[in-house]
Amino acid sequence: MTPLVKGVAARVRGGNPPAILGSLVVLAVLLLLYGSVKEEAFSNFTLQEVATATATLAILAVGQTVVVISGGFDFSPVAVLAFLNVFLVTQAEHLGGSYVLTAIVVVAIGAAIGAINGILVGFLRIQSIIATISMFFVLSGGALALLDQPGGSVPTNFSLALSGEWGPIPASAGVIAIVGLLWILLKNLRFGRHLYAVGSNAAAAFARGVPVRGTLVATYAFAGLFYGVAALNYTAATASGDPRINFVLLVQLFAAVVIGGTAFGGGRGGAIGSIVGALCLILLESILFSVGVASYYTPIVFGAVLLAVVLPSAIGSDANRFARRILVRPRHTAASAGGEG
Amino acid sequence: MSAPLTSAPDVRIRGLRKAYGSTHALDGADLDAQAGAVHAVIGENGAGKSTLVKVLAGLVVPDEGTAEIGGAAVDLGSPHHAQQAGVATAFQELSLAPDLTVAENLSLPSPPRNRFGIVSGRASRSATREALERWEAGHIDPLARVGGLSLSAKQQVEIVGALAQEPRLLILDEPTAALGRTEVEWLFRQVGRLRASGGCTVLFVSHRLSEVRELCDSMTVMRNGRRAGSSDSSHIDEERIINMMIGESLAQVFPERSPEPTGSPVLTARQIASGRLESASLELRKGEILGIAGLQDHGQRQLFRALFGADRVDSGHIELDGRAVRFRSPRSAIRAGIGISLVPEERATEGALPTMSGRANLTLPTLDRFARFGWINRRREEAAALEALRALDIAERALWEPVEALSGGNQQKIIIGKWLIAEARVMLLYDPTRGVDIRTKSEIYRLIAELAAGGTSVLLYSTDLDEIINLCHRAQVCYRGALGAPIGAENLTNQALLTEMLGGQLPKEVAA
Repeated sequence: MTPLVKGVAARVRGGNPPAILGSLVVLAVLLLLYGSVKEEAFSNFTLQEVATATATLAILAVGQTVVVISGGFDFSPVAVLAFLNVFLVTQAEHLGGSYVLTAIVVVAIGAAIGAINGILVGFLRIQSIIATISMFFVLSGGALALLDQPGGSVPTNFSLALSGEWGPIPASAGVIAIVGLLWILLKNLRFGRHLYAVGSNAAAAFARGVPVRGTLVATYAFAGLFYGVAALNYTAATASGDPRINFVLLVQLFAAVVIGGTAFGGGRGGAIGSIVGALCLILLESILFSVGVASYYTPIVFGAVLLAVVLPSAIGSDANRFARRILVRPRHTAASAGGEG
Repeated sequence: MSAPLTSAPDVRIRGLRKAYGSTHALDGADLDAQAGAVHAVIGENGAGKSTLVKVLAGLVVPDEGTAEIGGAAVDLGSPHHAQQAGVATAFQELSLAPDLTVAENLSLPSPPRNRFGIVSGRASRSATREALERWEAGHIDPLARVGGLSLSAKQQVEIVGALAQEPRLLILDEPTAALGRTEVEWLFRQVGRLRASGGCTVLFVSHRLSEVRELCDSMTVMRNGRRAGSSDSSHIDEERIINMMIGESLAQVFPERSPEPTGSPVLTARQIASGRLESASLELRKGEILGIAGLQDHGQRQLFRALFGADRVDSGHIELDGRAVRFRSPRSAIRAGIGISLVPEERATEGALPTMSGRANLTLPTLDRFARFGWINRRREEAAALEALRALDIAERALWEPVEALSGGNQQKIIIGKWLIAEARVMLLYDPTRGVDIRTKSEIYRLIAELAAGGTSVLLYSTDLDEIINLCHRAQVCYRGALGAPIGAENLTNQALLTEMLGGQLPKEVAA
């Protein structure tokens, strides 16, 4: 821990604090609010509820973060989620009933879909937004082809394994933790270094001998792998299939990434922040519900919170200009008022 | 200084061709460099130097041609193969990821890992620290984020990164363009050490003949994507080299200086302070070219930005025609008739809109003039832009082509040229000839002289003291945030300027 603490302290002193700090502050504030307005806020039951609600958003956000760090955007995750969800409900029985095999197949399909995105972006040089929107359409159609209306079910054992409890903790929280650890591992592999280098400046990375195209394929494949894990957890929690696209979730996903401190544009940020960001959004929703705010006001609050989180860094990056234009003007006017013609 | 030139060439390049559409960036380029030599590659912008560098570094696949190092053919076409062949390149457009630390950048693409495949930050840090210390750049922190370093420190990191690969062939692509004087001396020391240790051939790509003369054993002059000639630079004949570069004789680089204007000042600064700039006073008269000299980061940039309304003036004031003015933004400065050409420290961040056409770039500050009720009269706009292009001696196609497709010299001319249309009364030129070739330089000099002759007042900052000495009527030196007293044309010498730039002390090697 010591080198980590030392590193964080050095970055804070150097005026370049890790982006996750902001989201941790937001989380702390929300936890206090949550604890004070919610009854039995930290009981087993409500924790289970929060963990399950957070898991889908958080795990998808981890995948999205990988793509954003590489300098891209991924619009496909909710479609991957819907597709794999109905795939599980309709096709899993053909896999011989082994949950482990089923899980591996689902995650592998997720990774393969991601790899296709990666090939489109890395080798065919299609802009990530275009490539992943195309994938989004294909998969949302594919989901409807497999199952044309909500329905179906998965075995109870499967549901319990991924959305019940693992000893003292909710299974969903365990899955989130595993995904977080997996991200930390990825970040510290050579791939992780290449990922940040490509997102920061792809041409520079290429000149330094980084295999840019391969890194991009791996980036989207890992993202797809995380979407696969999210689909497993989501299907276990809902225990049924639903081919419809959850557009709100797609937008929340980007919000979670941003609140977590990962800047759009690439090269910085991290997925742990996105998990924190997802948790913040779920807590916020729960708080608003508890105090009786009508549900149609909730998005308004979301929007305000998102802006509030982003504003400091937007101001910080242009601090001088901002200070000059708005905060310091009175002094400036006074200093030169005598000379005004 | 000269290495023996008897053996067969160590680096042998034959018939490199590379075409982009109808443009031949390389058109059968040859090059020979002896083992262990420091070999200069010089030429105008667009002569093919950067493409040659990119081919050797594996970034650009040539259409045709071969390269040999030590008799072995180099597989051209991937950075990986180039590195395997022992080629290391310090690029002018830096190959550093801004969000990564110095150590993380220098350990790319294969950072040290433990046996589980986990990247070891400690190992890459200590390796980087060792490399930085070995090459006398120990002041750079391996943990610093590259994006937060100064441009010259970035360039040093780039160079150390190349040196640390212990290459057979080291390519330095315009390495001094971004370096201050002490860093240039640092670079020359390192190249000297490399030469003394032997075993590494250096290609030194540069615009500056004085550096080539000081550092290099031999040279290749490029023109139009080909070798225009080669020479042993200890017998350098500047005029001959310039002729080789441009293919004709350049009668005179600097235009004749007009008599020093007298009369009341147009632009006056009275003890203005802004950020690093602590106190600057100057008087710029009508038709005058006033030079500003200074080493990097002594406040001259803040002076220019403050005069243009881009930065806040903390204290003191600015007068235009004797009346105090305050520019809240560049827009208000433009309205008052002030134009600026800030050559970006890193290209294309200020000054030009790379994806927009030359026409749009030229008329942007004066768009109001061509618009009625917000609707732009294209014919009038185009006529004005065309007139400016003619004055700048740029081909008409620049009207429609995005500026990024033009050569660096033409981009720079367009950045300056937009103020021709604006008919600016005061031009602030911040290092207007940085990174442009000799021919374009001479054209820009002529442009500046013509502007001044036409009554425009010019404030000119330049890193090239020759420009200050030969173009300006008077000059002032920026040192540690303060602007010195004006020096008249009769006293403008290298020595006088340098003495002030260094704070009154002239180090021996500079005086010599």
